[in-house]
Amino acid sequence: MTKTSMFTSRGRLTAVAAIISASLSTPALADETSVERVSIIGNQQKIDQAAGAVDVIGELQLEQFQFDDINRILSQVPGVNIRQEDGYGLRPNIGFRGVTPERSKKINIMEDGVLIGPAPYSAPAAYYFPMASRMTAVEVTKGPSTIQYGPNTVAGAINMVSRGIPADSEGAVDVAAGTDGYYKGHAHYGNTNGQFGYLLEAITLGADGFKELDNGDDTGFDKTDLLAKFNYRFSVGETSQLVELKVSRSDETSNETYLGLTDADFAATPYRRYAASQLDKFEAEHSQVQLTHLLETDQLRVTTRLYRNDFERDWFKIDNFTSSQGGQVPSLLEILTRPEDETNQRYYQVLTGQRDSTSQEILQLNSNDREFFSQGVQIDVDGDVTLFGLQHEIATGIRFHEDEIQRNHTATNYFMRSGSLTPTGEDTRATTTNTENTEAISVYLQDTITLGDLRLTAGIRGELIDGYYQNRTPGFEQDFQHKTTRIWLPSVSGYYALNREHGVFAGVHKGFVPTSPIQDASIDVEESINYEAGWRYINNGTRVEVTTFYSDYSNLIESCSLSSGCATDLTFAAGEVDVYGLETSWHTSYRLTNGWSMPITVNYTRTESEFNNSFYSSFAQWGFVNEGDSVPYLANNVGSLSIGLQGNRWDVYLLANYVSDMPEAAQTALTGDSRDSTLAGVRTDAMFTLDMSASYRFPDWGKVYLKLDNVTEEEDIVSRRPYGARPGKPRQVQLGYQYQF
Amino acid sequence: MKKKVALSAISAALILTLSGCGESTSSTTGEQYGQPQTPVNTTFDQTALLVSLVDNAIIPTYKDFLSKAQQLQTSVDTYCAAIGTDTEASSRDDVHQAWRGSMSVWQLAEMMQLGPLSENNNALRNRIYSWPNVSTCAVDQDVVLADTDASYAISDRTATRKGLDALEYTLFSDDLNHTCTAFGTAPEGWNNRTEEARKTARCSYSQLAVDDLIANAETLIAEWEGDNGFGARLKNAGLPDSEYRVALEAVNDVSDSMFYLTEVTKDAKLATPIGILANDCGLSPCPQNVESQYAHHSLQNIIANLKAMRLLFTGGVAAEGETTTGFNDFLVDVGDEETATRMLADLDAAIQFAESLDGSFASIVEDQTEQAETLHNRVKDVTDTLKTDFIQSLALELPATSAGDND
Repeated sequence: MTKTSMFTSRGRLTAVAAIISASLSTPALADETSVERVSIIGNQQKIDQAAGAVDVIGELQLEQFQFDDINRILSQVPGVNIRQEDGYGLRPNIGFRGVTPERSKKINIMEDGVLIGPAPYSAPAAYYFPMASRMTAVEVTKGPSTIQYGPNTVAGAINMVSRGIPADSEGAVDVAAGTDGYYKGHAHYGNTNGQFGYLLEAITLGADGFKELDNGDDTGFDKTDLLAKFNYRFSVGETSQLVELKVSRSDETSNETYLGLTDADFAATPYRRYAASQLDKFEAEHSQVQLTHLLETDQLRVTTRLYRNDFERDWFKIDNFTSSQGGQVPSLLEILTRPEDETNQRYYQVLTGQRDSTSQEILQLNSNDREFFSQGVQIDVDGDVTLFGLQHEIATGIRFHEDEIQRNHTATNYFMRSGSLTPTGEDTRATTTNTENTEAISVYLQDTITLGDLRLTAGIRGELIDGYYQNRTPGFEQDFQHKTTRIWLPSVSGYYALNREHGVFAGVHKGFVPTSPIQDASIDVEESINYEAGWRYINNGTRVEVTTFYSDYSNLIESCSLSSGCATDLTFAAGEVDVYGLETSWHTSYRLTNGWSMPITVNYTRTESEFNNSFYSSFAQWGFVNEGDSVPYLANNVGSLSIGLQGNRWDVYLLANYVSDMPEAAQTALTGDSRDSTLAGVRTDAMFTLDMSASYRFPDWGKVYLKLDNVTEEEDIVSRRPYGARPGKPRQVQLGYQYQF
Repeated sequence: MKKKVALSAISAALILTLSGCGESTSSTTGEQYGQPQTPVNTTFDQTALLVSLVDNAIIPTYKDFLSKAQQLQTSVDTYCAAIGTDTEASSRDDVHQAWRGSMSVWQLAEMMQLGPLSENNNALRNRIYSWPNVSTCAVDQDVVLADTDASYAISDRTATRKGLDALEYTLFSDDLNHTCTAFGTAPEGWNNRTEEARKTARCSYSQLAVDDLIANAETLIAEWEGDNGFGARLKNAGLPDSEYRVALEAVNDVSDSMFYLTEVTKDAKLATPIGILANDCGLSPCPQNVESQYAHHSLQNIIANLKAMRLLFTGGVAAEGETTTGFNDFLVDVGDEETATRMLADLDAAIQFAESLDGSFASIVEDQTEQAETLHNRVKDVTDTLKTDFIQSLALELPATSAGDND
């Protein structure tokens, strides 16, 4: 039990400690060999007295369920709202405390403390997400601490912690196979010899896919990640210093599509994929170079990071119907939402391959080819100082960042012929050819003062963002924009210890989401004031936390990307919106006889939201909105229950998750107006999933593990976007073997 | 300790520096960024242009169509009464002429799809003419339904079952068998009826369809006329309480409708059957993709589209003793007489060439493909100017639908 609680503690990490722990773990700097020990054990008192929360899912907890899917991992964290898409979590949709989960674009996604999204400022949609399987911890920050990370501060941040260089020779091999052609091969080895340390890690992961294409083709994916880290430790005077180089490369090929099913087809065959999606494929390559320098004295830590991420992706997929004879052509979402409509019937028949295309039902497949880079240098400093008789814990930092997206989108027309897609013979044509680039300077300063039982923290973040958009279509040289945004984001929070076991905390901070460089400067950035207050109880391994939050948006913005039916990212503003709710968590562990223990964790989140204005928006997820309507894709009730049984050799875990149904649009009912949101009044299914895992450790020869995802074979509609009803993952069985040396 | 304080001071200094700049967003943009563009500096009376377009081009066209539809109604009634008599053939010729008359005027109105005709996904337009979304099988079904179901109301039926396209089929098709091929869609017992019974049923249905056509034409005119009609709203653009901030926004609505010539006339009616764009034959000439399959009126439709473009471009036809104000005048006023002259000349050349062609457009596509291609190129001359010089000189916005056009 002790071990379990060690790795599942929930609490605040100081920013720099978190960042340092993210990328560094060296014997010279501290006598730790894992990130978790640096982050949590070393700061346990601070965690327990945190004003606000950081949730940490540690390595052991990650191993319990061997999840490859970040969505399933985060289901164990209160306050997280998720819209599932492909069942494998290849392109997650994650939001916190009610912000849109669409492509995780409103949260900061980091790996080892560095922004890892393809272009976090210029194009925040996270089409690249670090492979969860190779991570040793996942840290989630919400509340006032968010101002240490940017640019988005309305919701929070996820930091994916990659494996650190071990102090001694250490390695592991993990192989697994499962249903639907699932396979995993994962190996790492590292060592530290004197002042030099290194780590090599490789993982390959894939499946044939659980969906069944009408023509029998593969619907699966293959991903490979390679990682190498090298470090060198030295001392100068009283300082301990370390230089670390991290290089990684990953690639992915997945036969993924935006095309879903009609509700009727979903009811009959939820894992079917229509013939029109037979050529859909996502291909991507990602590379990362990160150079880190850490300087530490007894009271000061300075971390400097130089980073460069390159990402290329091309998603070739069905986008829409087109007609060379003109006329109105319904959207794919409209066709699959109302397939019985007289106009939609023939399009539906073409999508399913039952009918050949005429010139009015030509299928347009888009090749959305994009190249990104994200680079910069960031310096984070933290330390303790006594001023005017008060102890200050100061954290400050500055980041010079640049990122860019180049879109080279093309479209090619196809006929459906006897169930196969056949090119019409027309030339492939350019659709979107542009560049967005951002240079940003970010600074933050946070000071925590201890006054007896009260810990007060004040902080501020500044963002100076220079964006540049250029249309690169020949003849549109004058279609450009230079845009500058400056903003200051303060935060204040406090924790008061009522006694050794009970404490209360509260905080307020300003939320912000910038607009991308292409958006007109007249579109206001997203701003909110976020409040939270809570109570925490900690006693002998039992931890209970209740937090209420209220996000008061003065201007909620949403960007409509391709996954929502727009040709490029367009921003829509809703004005004032309120999101509020309650997050609760309870963790304990019971000691049983014969060395067995039973850890239990329960999380529950209740969230409410409402627009404060009535308006119409052409943003597909809003439509005709009335004051009081709820924000789409925000479940009112989300809960999880995790129970384990841990012994000397055996471990068994059960994880039950519940997500209540969610509106697929803010508009609550169709009005008959042609501008209606297609999914007005439609809701996702309420979802209950039960996952199980079990492992047996041999005395000397590693362990075998068995996992069952979706034990009860639930077949729920997780979403009807982008185009039609989509299932979650079906029941999957995986058997693996892990050997550590 | 000194180092720590110094670093904190650096951050603090940066914060103070940036905070001095305040919280703000500002931008500089290129001339082609965003919409609308910088309005042209002109004293041109845009309201006069709108008045001329409404009073001399658009409403007269709609009214002319209503008149032609009423003539068609008379002809249909006569034809229905003549079925099985000696005058059947001549009555059928008359009704064909009446339909052609109606269609020729409607093809002018096709270029004037703004306001009531464009609202709600062009619902009213589709009730009058839904091409290319047509379905002869759906019409076959309704011919029987109307004949057998006393509660049948054509006004409640979908657009593909009525309008000028349905009338073209019921009045022109020589094949009296139904056209339904999908399982379960065939109208029951239809092919077993006598020839005369089928003619009579189709004609009766044509009477319902033409009644519906007239009702829709009257609705259209009612929506445009009067103090609160769309015509008045266009003419009052830019005045207090107008939905248009400035008159140019209303002018832009009219110019949007003129892009029918690009997206429909040039691409759908010409490029597709010729094989420049994909058609049902692949990328080769395909007569089955011309617009008018039964009346063989495709070429006349294209000519009417071009004439409508000319009508709008020049501000319509003025009453005797009065003058018109057209887009050509606007172009001259902003100093682009060259575009005004060239566009008019290109339009006239395209009309003249189209009128010089013999035979149905389907036969031209099949047997004289070069001639069809030449017509396409003549129309393209006009549309190229429309979406470049015309738009830029008048600082108008391109319609969203033309952003990814086929050029």
